Amino acid sequence: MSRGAPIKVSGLVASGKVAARDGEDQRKPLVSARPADAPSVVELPTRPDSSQETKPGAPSTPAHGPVAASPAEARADVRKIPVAEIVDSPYQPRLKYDPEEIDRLAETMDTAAHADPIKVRMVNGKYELISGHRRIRAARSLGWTEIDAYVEELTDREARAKTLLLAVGSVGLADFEFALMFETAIKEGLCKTQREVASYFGQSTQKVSGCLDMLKLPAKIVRMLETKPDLFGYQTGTVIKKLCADYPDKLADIERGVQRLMEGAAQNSLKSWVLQAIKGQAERDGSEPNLITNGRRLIFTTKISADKRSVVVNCKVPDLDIAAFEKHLQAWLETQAKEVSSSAADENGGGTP
Amino acid sequence: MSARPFGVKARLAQELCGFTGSPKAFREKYNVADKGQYHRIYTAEDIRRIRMSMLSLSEDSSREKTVPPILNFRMAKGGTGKTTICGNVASALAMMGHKVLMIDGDPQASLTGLFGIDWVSESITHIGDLMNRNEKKEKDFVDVKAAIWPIYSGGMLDIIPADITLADTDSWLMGATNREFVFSRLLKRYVDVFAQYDVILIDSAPSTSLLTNTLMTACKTLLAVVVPEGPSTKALEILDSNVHELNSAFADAGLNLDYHVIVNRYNQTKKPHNDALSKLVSTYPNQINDTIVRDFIGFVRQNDAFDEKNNGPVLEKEPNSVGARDVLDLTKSLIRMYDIKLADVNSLAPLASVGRAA
Repeated sequence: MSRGAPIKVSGLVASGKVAARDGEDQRKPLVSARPADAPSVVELPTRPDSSQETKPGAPSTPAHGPVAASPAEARADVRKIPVAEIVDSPYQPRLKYDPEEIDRLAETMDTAAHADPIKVRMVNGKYELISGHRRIRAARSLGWTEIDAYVEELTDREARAKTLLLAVGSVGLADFEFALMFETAIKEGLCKTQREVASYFGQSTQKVSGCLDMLKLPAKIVRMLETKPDLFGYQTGTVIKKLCADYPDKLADIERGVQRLMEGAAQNSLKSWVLQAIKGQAERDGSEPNLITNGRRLIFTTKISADKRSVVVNCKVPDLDIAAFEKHLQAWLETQAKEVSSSAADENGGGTP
Repeated sequence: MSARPFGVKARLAQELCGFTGSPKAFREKYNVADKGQYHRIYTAEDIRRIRMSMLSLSEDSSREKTVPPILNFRMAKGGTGKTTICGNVASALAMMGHKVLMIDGDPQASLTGLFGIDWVSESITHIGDLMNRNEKKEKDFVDVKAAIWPIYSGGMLDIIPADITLADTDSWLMGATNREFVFSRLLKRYVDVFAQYDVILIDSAPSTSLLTNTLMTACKTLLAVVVPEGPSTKALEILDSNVHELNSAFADAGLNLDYHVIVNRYNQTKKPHNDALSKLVSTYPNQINDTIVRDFIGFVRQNDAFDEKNNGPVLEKEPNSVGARDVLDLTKSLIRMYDIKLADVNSLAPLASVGRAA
């Protein structure tokens, strides 16, 4: 069990993990119902029985007075609407639709008929989708002209909230799409804090903060995500964020690493690849070693290291008297030190035989 | 028996008081001269004092003489966690500064045992005895106070314990007049004893008996603790019909019992749990508490296998655990639901961080 925020029934319902089924075993509570505003009991977001969801002026309900429609009445709202007049919701977080998934869905819808009506609302004479973006694509691919739908009356804000909530339980939403959704929820004031977002959508706080961090990655990487939302998940996002923080001047390497993912490399290979790319460069930054020979044999190599402030001297001859060499080197360095103090020359060297 | 020494560290104390300022401000403002600022432990009494001063009440303010809200943990099945939830919620309520009375209404006396009372060897006057003596209308006064055992000092958490002889209650209840309201009558007659508490919690037995019925009729809303598994959801249906039966039998007396469901021992990774929860949510909408108590092994560690004296609720033993977190959240929602007040003052202070964000 995770040690995170407490699990709420409302969160589980919102995330689709627990579905409130409209089954025949629906019982009316035997005792008088609690007032609707009792705050600590679960309210079901998808059940159309609360009067808040039916707007005054809706064709099926009287203009005033809170009328609670029973599920049976709500089902009567299902009608056939022309597929051509349905438009996507602007609030739908999904950016990419997997054509194979759509084909599979189309196959089920064709053989088993369309069991679950889509949800739409009327906007400017068109039907705007609330849920059923994948189903409508499948219907189009099947060449259907009409589809079963619940037509609901919702304000922009309600439609946005509902579209987001229903999308959470949807199939295979990428973390980047989650990120955009969380961002919208915060921007629109549905939730104030990341913690609220987490319980609203029934996700872990870790995932929420990870996803939101994905949006703060370098612009080029975010653009790659926009073209391919499932490029990497939020955990890899955290890795990239850390790489960017650790090596702010090596952005090009990190971007190349992410580009590799585009070409099909595994997500977990990213960090080591980038680090290798950066390290490899670091070594190239240092000079090539100088070889000192006596004409026939290699005696010493010297090399200025990457920080340009030290020289590594390597003795390649095993029988050389290293103590004597160090003594000579020290004597030479002392004369150098005297020169530095008089002429402020900037080159100093540390020798390691 | 002396009270249990239990207190919480500053960070949790701050949450329990509903203090929103900085930890430093909390330490300085509510510091006790002889204990020092740091590493001090806040007892239930301390927290009550702090909350009273936050509400600018005098320390001796008390409730008026009415029976406080009653939380009856009732379920028609054993082992769902009634006692565990009852004991922990009681401890949490006390640690939020309320004066709490627990009544063990189960002859198995597991609530009594949870707080380390060895009911086998101790001499116990249980709620059945009190009701019996009260019914006999003997001239002599029933000493309710003598039956109450202290758990936290200062009357913050008290218990009327039970032992196995509570099972005999049904035998005399059978002949009592208007037996369903025997408990209510006791409450009414000794209201000055019961009124000093901000809330009363009853841990009921799983069986449907005359004893459980009389304990049920005294409260407005029962708390049904349910494990999201088949037998438990089935038992909830039995409880439902039990409640319905009582309501229709005593409709004239104005009885309108309701019940509220608390989901306990839930494990998100178990599919049957999710299925059962789906069923519960669709069958009992508006009756399920939003806070779920997760399956947590600490609840099993409450009872020490070797020494009963070391028993204690999770809130005492592991105050920073997942289990304690769930208990605190649950308690906050119950305070709101039952309108539990601090010395009759409606204070929402510890609820500051509750809601979806919590």
